[in-house]
Amino acid sequence: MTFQPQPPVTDLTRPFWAGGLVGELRLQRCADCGHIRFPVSAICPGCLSGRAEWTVTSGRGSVLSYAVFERSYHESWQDQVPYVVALIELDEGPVLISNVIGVPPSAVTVGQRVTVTFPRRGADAALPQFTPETEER
Amino acid sequence: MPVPVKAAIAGVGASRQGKLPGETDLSLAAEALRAALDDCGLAKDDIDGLLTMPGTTSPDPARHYLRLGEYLGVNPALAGSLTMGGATAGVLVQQAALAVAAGMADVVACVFGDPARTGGSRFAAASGGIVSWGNWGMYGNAANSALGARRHMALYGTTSQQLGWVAVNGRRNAARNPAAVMREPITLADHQRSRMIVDPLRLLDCCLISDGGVALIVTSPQRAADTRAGGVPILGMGQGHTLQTLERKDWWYLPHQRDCVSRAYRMARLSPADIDVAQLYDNFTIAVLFWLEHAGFCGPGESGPFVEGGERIALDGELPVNTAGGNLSESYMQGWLHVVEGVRQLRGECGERQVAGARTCLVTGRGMTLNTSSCLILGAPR
Repeated sequence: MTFQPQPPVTDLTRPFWAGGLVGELRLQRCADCGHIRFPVSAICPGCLSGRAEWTVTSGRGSVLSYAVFERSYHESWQDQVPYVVALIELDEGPVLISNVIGVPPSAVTVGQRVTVTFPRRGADAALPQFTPETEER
Repeated sequence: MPVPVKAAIAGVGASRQGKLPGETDLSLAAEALRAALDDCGLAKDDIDGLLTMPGTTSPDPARHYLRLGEYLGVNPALAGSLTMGGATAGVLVQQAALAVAAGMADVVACVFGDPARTGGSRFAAASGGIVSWGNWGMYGNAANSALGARRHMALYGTTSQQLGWVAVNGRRNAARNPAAVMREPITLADHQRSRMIVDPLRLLDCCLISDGGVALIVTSPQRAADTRAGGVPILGMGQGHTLQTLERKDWWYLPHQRDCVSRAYRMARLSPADIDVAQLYDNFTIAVLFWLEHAGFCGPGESGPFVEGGERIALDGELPVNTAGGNLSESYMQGWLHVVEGVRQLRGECGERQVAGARTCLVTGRGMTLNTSSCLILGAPR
């Protein structure tokens, strides 16, 4: 099943969803006050400015908290159970809701360092998810 | 010096609770309103304010007051509907009190009805807005609270067993409440054996889903004095809202709840030590831990040890909590029954579960994606 965001990609959200197709986690940065925001919005919740530019973040951060879904509430997640939904605090500041994947839920911890990955893809969107950072080489 | 009281709760009423197939948001609200009017001895035609909360099954939530007003045959001076989840009961009582104090209405009925159990509720929806959290499998209400519970555990060493004591306490109290839906006693071991829903929350950490309705009648202290039970004075009122979610790193800890209760204490000129009994909004067990910290009954991170063993929060403990069983065991009326129980405790009507000498009750509510909160501090009839 190819990935389709719900609700669908719009002009406003396209850079966020399409960034992953080229491996980039893009967020809006306010052109007036510099605040980097998530969720995607037409205006800055800091200064209400409507001027923003898309910035490529490091895609790195840490697990603020997480929960393990032991059952699915939606058919698109049925084959993923058990899966981890996490609050990820990016190094640039914003907090995302996302998943920690690639390890069993028991290997996820609060404070764990993670990096973005985009395994679920459709034609015009890729889902940012996170996986534990590997040791520095 | 006693705090000046501008409004009182003169009547409380609840419909039957539990599984009530065939009932609607309107029929359950009407059943509750009849009970509340009987409770205080006022008549339907005395009502000149109608404030409502649309349930999870209401077909047109913003116009719920209109549908319910027509159904009840009420043409009031003041009307409206509000959707703030579990904070709504407290907020509507506050709006009613403000209207009474301002002279806009004399007798305000705050009413709720919802066949959430059998009527197709929408509790399993995804959060988020332009970018839905459903994209990451974030569905239902348990997960929001699970995120808070997990971080509390990581920072402070809080355990699932400690959460379990909140569930045991609720059930223990519900066993003494003939109107409670779940009265079969549970043990900590039962809690630990119950299946995981969204780790770290187990089945017995979760509230019920119930059909039912609740109504509260708010009027002036003078008018309440002439009603059957004399009226429970509203001593303090507060709200707090963290309407941002991901933009606030401390959202998981619900910082607005502390502000909300602090505002109510300030208005009532009371402090945590003055509170005799507490009805704390408990959609999940972890919620009670947060409230204990935010209401100043213990310090940040200390709520796990506070509830451990279940003694402090028991009916004969230093702070009896959720004396009717709460959302976890009495019935899930989204906090409305917490107000009802607060009123009944202060009137001394609670029989086997009565807290001896209760003169003050703290009632809290919180809702949506954990964003809203409300607090009432109620006093004994004067």
